[in-house]
Amino acid sequence: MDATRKNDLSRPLDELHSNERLKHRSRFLRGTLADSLIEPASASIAPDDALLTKFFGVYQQDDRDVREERRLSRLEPYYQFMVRVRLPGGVCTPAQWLALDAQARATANAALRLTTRQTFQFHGVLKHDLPRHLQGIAAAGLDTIAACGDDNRNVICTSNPLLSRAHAEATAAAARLSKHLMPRTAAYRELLLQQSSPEPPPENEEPLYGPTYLPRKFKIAIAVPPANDIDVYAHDLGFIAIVENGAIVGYDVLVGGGMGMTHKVPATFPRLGTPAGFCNVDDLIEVAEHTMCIQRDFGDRRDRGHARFKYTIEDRGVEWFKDELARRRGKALEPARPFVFETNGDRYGWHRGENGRWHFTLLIQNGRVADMPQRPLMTALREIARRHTGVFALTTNQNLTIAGVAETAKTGIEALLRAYGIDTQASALERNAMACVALPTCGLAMAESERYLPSLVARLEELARETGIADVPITIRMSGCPNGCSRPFLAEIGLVGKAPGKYNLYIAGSPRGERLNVLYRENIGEAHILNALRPLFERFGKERTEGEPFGDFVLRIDEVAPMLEGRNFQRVTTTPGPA
Amino acid sequence: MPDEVHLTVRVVGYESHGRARRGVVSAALGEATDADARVCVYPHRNSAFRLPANPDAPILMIGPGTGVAPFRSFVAEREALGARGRNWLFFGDRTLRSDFLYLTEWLDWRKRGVLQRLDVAFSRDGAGKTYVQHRIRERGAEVHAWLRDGAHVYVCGDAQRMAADVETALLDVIREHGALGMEAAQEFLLDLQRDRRYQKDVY
Repeated sequence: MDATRKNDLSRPLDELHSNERLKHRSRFLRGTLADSLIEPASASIAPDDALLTKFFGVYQQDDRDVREERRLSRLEPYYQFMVRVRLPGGVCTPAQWLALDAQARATANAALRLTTRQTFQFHGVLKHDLPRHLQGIAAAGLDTIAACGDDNRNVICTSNPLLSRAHAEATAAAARLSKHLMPRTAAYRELLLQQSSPEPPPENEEPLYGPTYLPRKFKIAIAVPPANDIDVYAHDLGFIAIVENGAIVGYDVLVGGGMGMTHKVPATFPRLGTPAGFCNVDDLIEVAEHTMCIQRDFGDRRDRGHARFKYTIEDRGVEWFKDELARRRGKALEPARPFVFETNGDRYGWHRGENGRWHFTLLIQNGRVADMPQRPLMTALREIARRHTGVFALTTNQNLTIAGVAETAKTGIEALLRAYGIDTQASALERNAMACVALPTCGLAMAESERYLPSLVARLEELARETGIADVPITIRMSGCPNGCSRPFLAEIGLVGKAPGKYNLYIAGSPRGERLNVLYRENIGEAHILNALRPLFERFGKERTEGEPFGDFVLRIDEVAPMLEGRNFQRVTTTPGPA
Repeated sequence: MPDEVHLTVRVVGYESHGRARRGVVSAALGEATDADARVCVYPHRNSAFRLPANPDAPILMIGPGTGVAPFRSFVAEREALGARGRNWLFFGDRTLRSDFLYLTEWLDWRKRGVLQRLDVAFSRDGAGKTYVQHRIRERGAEVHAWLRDGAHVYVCGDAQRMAADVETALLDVIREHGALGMEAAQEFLLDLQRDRRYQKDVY
C-alpha cells in the first residue's frame, strides 16, 4: 500500500469517516429523505438526511434562543431550515430578485441574506414548506444545488459583470464552471422539487463525483484585478484573471486556500492559496475539473478536520500538485503572470463602467435585507427591482450593486432610497465590517456575530474619533466560530468567537486580502477588546504614514510578527486574555 | 415518577359580555410557574379508565390536546411493567411547532420501541383542517386489525365535539373494514364498551 494514500478514496469504505459510508449508501443523496419530509410528528428530518440535504443547499438548524425553554416544555428544538441559492458570480435579474423576495415572505422569515459567498440565503423555512420554497426558487430559473455539502460550492467572482468586458467574461466563466461541476443526481428534482423525472436516471448519476462526492466542501473564486473583493487567497481554488487589451487571456491559478480551523488544534489552520502557474482562458474548465478530481482522489476522507484541499496541498506540496495536474491534463501550467491587487473592499456609491452605464453599490449591513423599523430596506429594494432594467450584482462583502443604470435613471433610484429612509452614508469602519450569521440559527456558533458586530463597531468608531483615525478604512470581520465564514483571518482586525461574549482578537491582515492576520489577544470580551485596540489606534493616529493601512502599520511597528505560513497560525503564543 | 402528580392544564380563555375572560382555576394554575409555587391537589380516581389487565393486549390511545395527559402515565406504566402489548397514540392540536404536548417524550418512546405507532393531526399547519378522526379513518385498515387483535380503545379530551367525531370515525372504520351495516357496527362498539375495551374520559 502507498503509505501516502492511507486516508483517501483508495481505501476501503469501512476505514473512512462515517460520512463517506453515508454518502455511499445514500443512492446519490436520496437517503430516507422521502420519509423524513412527510414524517408528521417532528419538524426535523432524520440526522443522516440532514447531512444529505446540505448537498442541495438545505441546512437544518434550530432557533438556539429558545432551545432551553422548549426542552423544559418537552418540545423538540424549534427546527427550521436555511436554504442557500446557487448564484454563480452573484448576479440576478430584477425579476429573480422579486421572485426571491416574494418567496422569503411566503415561506421564510421575510428576510433575505446576502452571503459572503455572493448568494442569497433564506432562514426559517419550515419542513412542510420546503418543497414549495424550492419550487418557487426553481420557477425563477434558480436552484440551490451544491450550495452546501461535500461538493463544488457556489463559484464566486469579482462583482458586477456590467463593469467591463473582463468582468463580463469572468462572470460568464463562473457560471460555466458552476454548471460544469454541479452534482447531477436526480434526487433534487425527485425529492425536493417533487417533480417526476422525464427519464430514469443513469446508473452512475455522478460521472465527476462518484457515489461519495468530495472529501469536503470545495470552493472556487475568480478575481479580476485590481479588485480582490472575493479574497482569492481564501479558497480551495483561486483564479486571477490576466487581462490584456480589455479581455481575459488566461488565469493565474492558486491552490489550497481556506479559512476554517478548530480552536486550539494547531494541525488545523487557515491557509492562503499557493500560486501554481497560469492557464489559458480556454483551459479554465479543464484545470478546475482536474483540480477538483485530484482533491476527490487524494483528499483525506478519514478526518473531516483535515479534509479540505488546503491540507492535501500542505501535506504533499504544490510541486506534487503541479505534476499531478500536468499528468492528468497532458500539459503543464505556464509560469504565473504578474498582477496587482488594490483592495478587497467594495466601491460604494455611484461609479461608471466601461460602456458608460452607472452602477450603485449599497452597503447592506451584514448582508441582511429585511424591513427594519424606520428602515424598510426590503421594501425599498423591491420597489427598485420593479423599475430597474439592469441586473443586481451581489458582492462577497455582503453588499449589493444596482448595476447597469442609465444616466437618466440615476435620480429615480436615489429618490427611492431617500423615500424609504435608506441612508447611504456610512462610516469608514461600517463600510469595511462584515459578520457571519452565527446565533441564533447557526449550529456552529460559539458567540454572537451578526447581532453583535454593529454595536461593537459603534464603540470602535468612538475610539477612532478620539484617536483621529475616523476617516481611515479598516477591515473588521467577525465570525461566531473559527470556521470563518466572514473570512476573519484576512481582516486587519479579526474577531472569532470562543464562547458567549468572548473572542479571539487577530490583527495585521491586509486590506488587499493577501496576508493572514495574527492572534493578538485570546478569549476576551468587549472591554478588553477596546483596551487592546486603544493604544494601537492612538499610535496609528500619530505615527501612520500617508495612506498606510492599519494592518500594515501594526506590522511595521513590530506589534506582531507577520504570519508567513498558515501552518504556524495556531502556534503563536500571546499574552493570555483576562478570564 | 410513582410519587409525582403531573398536571396538564390549558388555560381556558373565552369572551363574555364583550370582555376577554380566563378560567379561574386554569389561569391560577397557569400562572403558578415559578419553581417554589405550591398548589394543593388530590387525585380523583377513575375506575372506568384503566389499562387492560392483560399486559399483552394492544391499546389505542386517542387523546388530542390536554386529553393526552393520562396516556403519558399509561405508556410509562406499560414500559415500567415491561408489558408486551403494542401502544398506539393519536394526538392532535393546532400546530406541531408549539402544541405537540410532551413531544420529546413521545418521540423518545417511539425511538425506543415502546410506542409502536404515533399519528398526529395539526389543524392549523396544513391547507385543510385535519383532526384525529381524519387520521383514524386514514389508518382504518390497521385500526380495525388492532381491534381484531383485541386492542383496548381509550378516548380522552374534549367532550363537546371530539368524542363524538372520534366515535363516528370508529364506527366508519368498523363498518368499512368489518363489512358491517350501521346497526351491526354500533352493536360491535357497544360490545367493546361492555367488555371494557372502549373507555372514555371526556370533559
